Amino acid sequence: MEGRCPYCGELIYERPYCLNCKRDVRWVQKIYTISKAYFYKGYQEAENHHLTSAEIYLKKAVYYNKYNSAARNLLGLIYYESGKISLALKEWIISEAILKEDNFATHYIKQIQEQPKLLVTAKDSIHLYNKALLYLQQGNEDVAIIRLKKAVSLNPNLVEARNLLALCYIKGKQFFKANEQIKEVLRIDPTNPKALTYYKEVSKEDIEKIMPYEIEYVPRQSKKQVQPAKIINRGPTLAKYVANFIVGALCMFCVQTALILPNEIQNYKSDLFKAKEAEEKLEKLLQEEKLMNEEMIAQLKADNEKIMKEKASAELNASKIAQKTKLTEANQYYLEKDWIKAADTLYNIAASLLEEEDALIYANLKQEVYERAASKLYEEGYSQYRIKDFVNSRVSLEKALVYEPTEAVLRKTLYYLGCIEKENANIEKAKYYFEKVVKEYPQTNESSWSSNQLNALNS
Amino acid sequence: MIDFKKELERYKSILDVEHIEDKIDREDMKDLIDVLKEFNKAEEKHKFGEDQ
Repeated sequence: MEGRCPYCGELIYERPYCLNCKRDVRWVQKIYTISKAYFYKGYQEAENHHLTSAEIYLKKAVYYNKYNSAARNLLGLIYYESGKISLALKEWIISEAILKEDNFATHYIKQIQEQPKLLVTAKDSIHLYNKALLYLQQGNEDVAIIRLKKAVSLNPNLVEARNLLALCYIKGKQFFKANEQIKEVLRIDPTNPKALTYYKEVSKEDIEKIMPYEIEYVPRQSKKQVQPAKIINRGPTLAKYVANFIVGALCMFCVQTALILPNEIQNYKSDLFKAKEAEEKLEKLLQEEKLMNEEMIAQLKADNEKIMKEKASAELNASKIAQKTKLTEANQYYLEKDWIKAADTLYNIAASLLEEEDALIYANLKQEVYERAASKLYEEGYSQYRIKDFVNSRVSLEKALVYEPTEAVLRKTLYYLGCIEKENANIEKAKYYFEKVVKEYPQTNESSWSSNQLNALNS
Repeated sequence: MIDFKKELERYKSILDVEHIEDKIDREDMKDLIDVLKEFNKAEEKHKFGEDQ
């Protein structure tokens, strides 16, 4: 039995997933299983010649899986058997459209096409039945009965025409004739619900008792038994078709089991093996890549550390050279007796970076230069104070404090810084300088001057 | 007793033999999976409409 993927239309056979779109089709397979079950049930009913029951099951099988061509073909046979050749042809045409190769439907259609007379008869009988139905709906029963009788004579298996004829007879209380039609229908299809209903209805009546209006019919029948020109027994034909179908299905099953399935299994195994091999290779490559990356990271870290160390060392060396250059410069200023520049340069030297020998030179220079620079700065500051250049004076005096001046210079520097602050109206700062002089250098001129200044500021 | 009129309603005309191929419509080619697919499509469309 065929089945197609509802997502992409690819043949899926009995696989749980589609090979084309890789989607899960187990739910489709479940539906197809139901279709199969209905087909087997329909097939059983067909074997027992229960046409109506078979038709119901086969219709369901087709509804659950339209690609179930076996069910569709058998449904066509059921229609054919019950005289509905048009419906049979319709099912076979659909079946052929769905499954183009190895389809019994092709054979059935061909067989019918080879019998044009059969087609004409079927066409006429169906036409007569449809016309009769129309007449009955219009209330014209007599004309309808004529049409139906003609239809039945042309197509004796047309059960619907027989049922309708039986119904007309029942209405006309011609139970004997009705019973004849019903029995014929039940012979063709023992499960026909309409015929069973009519049979039940007619059984209530005493059909053994010939009604007056049936007398004419019965004796004629008793005198000369009306026999159909040719009894068409379709039982063997149906059996032949069913047998052909079973043989075909068995062959397909054998081919599937013996050839296709092992090959497919082998293909799956091969694919699986290849996939596993590829996965292992990939895993190995990933591991190697990981190791390489780790080694590279470690190498880079080591290189980075080395570079950082080299950089730090180079910076240290550069700094040491800079300090030494500054020391040389300071020495040059010292030799030129430019005490302030020499002190400034010395002040900017990082002594910790000097080598032992240079550190000694630095200490000696500092001792030689600082005091002199402080005295020189004090003198400059005092001169500027005298000409009331308080801004520059304060700079010079503050700088003098930095270069470790002698006590005398320090006292004077602090005093004049206080005076500058006073001039600049920074009273608190001025007081700070004066108090410092008074406190740290008592009994000095600067102390008494500072005291006076404080009194003046406090008053 | 059989109600003739009601019983008559149970009978339908049979498809004519001529031009059978023209009378095969989409419904004849539809199965449960097609119905489910259509239902799914309709539901998705409905959801899309709600989202908008």
